[in-house]
Amino acid sequence: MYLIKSTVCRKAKDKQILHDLVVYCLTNTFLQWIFQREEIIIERLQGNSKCRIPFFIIIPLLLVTAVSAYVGPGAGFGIVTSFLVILNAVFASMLSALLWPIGLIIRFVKRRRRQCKQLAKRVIVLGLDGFSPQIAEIMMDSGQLPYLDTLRKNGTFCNLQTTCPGISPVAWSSFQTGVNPGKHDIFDFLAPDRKRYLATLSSVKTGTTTSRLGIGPFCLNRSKSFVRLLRKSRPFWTLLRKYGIRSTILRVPITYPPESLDGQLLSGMCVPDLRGTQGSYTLFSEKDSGTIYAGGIRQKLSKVNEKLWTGELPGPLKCDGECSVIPLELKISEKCITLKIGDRKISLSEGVLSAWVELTFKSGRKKIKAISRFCLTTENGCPSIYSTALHIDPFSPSLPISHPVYYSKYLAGLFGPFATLGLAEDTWALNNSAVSENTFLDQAWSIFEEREKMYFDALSRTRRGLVVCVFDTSDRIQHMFWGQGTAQDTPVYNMYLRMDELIGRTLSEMGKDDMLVVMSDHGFTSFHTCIDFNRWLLENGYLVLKNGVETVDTSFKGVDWSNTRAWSMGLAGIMLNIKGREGSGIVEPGSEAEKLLSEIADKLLLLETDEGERVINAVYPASDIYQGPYSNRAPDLVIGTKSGFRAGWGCVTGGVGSKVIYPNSRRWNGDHCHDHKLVPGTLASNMKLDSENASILDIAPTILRVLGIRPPSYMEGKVLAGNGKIQ
Amino acid sequence: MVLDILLLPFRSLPSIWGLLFISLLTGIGMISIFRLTSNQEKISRLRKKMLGEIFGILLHVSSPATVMKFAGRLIWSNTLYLLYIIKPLLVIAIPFMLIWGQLDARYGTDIVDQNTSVTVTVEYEDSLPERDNITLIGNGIEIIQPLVMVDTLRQVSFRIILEDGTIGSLDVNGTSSTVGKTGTWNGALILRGFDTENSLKRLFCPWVDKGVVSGDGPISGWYSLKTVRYEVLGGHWSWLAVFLVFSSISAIAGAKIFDVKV
Repeated sequence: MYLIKSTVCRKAKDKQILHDLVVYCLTNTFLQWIFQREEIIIERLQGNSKCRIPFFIIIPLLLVTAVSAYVGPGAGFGIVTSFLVILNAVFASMLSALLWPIGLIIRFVKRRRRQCKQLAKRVIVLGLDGFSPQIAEIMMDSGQLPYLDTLRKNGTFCNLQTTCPGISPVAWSSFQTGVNPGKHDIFDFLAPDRKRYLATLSSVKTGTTTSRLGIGPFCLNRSKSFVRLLRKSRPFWTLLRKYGIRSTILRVPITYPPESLDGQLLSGMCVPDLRGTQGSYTLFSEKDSGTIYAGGIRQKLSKVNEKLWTGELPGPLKCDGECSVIPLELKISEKCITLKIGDRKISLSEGVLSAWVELTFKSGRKKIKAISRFCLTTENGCPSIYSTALHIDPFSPSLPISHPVYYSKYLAGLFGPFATLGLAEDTWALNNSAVSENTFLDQAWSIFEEREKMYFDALSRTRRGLVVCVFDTSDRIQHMFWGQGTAQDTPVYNMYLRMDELIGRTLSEMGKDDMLVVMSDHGFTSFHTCIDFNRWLLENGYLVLKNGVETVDTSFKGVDWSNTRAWSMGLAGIMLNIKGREGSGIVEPGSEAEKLLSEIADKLLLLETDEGERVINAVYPASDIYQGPYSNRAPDLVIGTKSGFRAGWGCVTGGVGSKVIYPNSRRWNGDHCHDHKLVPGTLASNMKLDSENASILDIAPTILRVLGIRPPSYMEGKVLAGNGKIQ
Repeated sequence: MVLDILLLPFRSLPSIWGLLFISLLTGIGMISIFRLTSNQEKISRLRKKMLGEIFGILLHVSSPATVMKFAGRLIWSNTLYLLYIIKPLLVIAIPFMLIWGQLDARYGTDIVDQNTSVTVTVEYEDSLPERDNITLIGNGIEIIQPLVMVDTLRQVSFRIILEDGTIGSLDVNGTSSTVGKTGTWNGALILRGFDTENSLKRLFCPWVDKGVVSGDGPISGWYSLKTVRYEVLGGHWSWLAVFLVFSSISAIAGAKIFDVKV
């Protein structure tokens, strides 16, 4: 009774309470905003973001976040403030609806007129890395790929000429730019540092710059790290902006770091892990520790007692050069197996990959977020834990992996954490028997499912414009399971069925004005024998080792450059040791070099196995196959091996082995780094295309044409749609 | 009692310091309870989803239909969020209300000034007695006439002055109650009225004295005390504003430090 009375009598006081509550809510909201959204504000203030969303839209939306993430002295206030979420959501919707006609008019006025008739409202490019037209054709003929067969019957299905060499970074770069490698400067996964004879990544350069700031004796050195995309030329989707056509680009190789475009982009192949590698897993066991394997490292799992093991998961390097680590604790009891990593605790089952686990590494005052998956196995009766590479957390990316930067956050928010590493499927772990075939397949298919969600989300949100999504699962499964053949229920067979289902689902999402392009960058064939080109060069007197050196593991350590005339690096390249170009070059450019090239090419074509089988299909001088400003950076000779033969594992990174030809003993037994004519890609479409001699260079100009845009003159491919005519 | 002990070091300081200390402590305490009683995994996932939906609005701002879809999803996620916090809400509610009442009683109103009169209003259960039958006895209190009687409300009002400015007792027709600072061993609570009913409500409203009734005296009463304003950051804040803002700051800091997902 008293309470009711006093409430009635204190109306004036209530007004004050209301005022205080408003002050409180605003203060709380502001604080939340500062704490949680600082990176967005910083990005917006620095002007790094190319987004054109005005502040007056961002602020109310950020208030929504702040309110949803309410922190108060009691959860009760969450109820009060949650109403603000509703209010803001309604406000955002109304504002968007009100501004939509204005935006439409601005876009209409600003955009360029299309130069020819648009043939489709939306173009969907479904990239299936390594999808072989030969296998697809066999399976279609036996009725196992019904959806692809529909495209073959009603539209187009043909071989798609790939680049030379037919390697993903080269081919996908040509796909997106419409030019040959001489114009986009990607010739292989690796690019030789000709001055130091070292292998570097061809597509990305990461480094630090130091700037001095100060007056007189007071100086401050500021170092800033940078990531630069080395692919030259322009992806065709960046040209669409001028015409007001939006694009969603998902996981296309060689798009890291992401470039600005009208739409969204999630980077693909070449996104590194947090150790700065292209993917290095960790295997914890009681055996040796700290050993670095190809693609991974081994860490010690110390036994504390019969039920408890401890270890340390190494993360990114800190400023002082030390590795940041997260402690790990494995507890095995009769009831369950639990793994504690940092402050996270997960349950493990033997042989089963865990869900993504979020990890936070501390590097000085900075926190670096990563995601990883774990799997428990047993090694000689002792427990062993496999941890995937440390993927960049898409929700808190420490490196730019998407455009706009919050696109990865959007995807992670809606669909949960996902693989961000360029080569996400851990082929090295299977190669080194760190995981079983089943675990690898589980991993590959779960990555496929993650991407499927993003892809169909993009399809549902992009009703006009361009959607490109590349699925790598097809490539990785064929690399690792080619040896098992394509019979029913083999992993490769199942993969083709599943890709066909994906095509079917895509078709069901499409409208009558949509164009679908299903394509692959290359095909596939077997890889049973390795060829050590450096050994061959050594045995033929073109490469010379220092006295006492018999073999070289990597990076040409022990090579006598003052007497070496040719060297091999990468998956298919031979370089001459040209004076002035190479660090210790001895071959005179011009006629001497040309003579030497033709001598090496002739000899290589005669290379054969002990059984007398020729192993080289063709040798291509760079001057014959590449045109453009960067063609002088290409290997001097590109070797096209026959099916089954490929550059040996060691010689790719500058090793010199003991044999020229030796069997490939690894599980990686399917490949496409052969003569590019042997591994064409696939092109299928619901539209009738001019399929004669279709090349991967033709895709970009064709899509531009379909969207009503005249392909720029620097593009080399031909238009496959609209009878090739541009009105 | 607990609060008295916690506030002991602040006795000689202006009362705002004690209020600030309790506010900061409460924020940390509440956020810890929230962490223990909520499903942190679910809340974290939902928060990310909500953020994803907000980014969805930003990404598709040129498409009102998509924005509305995301807005709808956001509202639905918000509803789920409210469901997730019901459990911690219920757990926190009781200690929060206890603290609220204690702080309101200690910091909400000023003590009765020696020279200022306070209006007292008492309420009878059935009907008002005759004016002549109303007896007012003050101990340490000076009672100032006249009596104002409102028959329809069964209320009688009059003014008093607390003689020593700290505590006194008032007897109205046999119903006696305390006026001034009391309630704990150090007399930190400031009473704002009395109620003769035995009720648990008093637990949450410690500013209400338990009136002792004998005869036909009033069943409840209240004193019109002055609301206290505190000088904080150049403004005049009520205890509630100080408490809410500073407990929130400490809760946010606590959430940040202890990685609490809210």
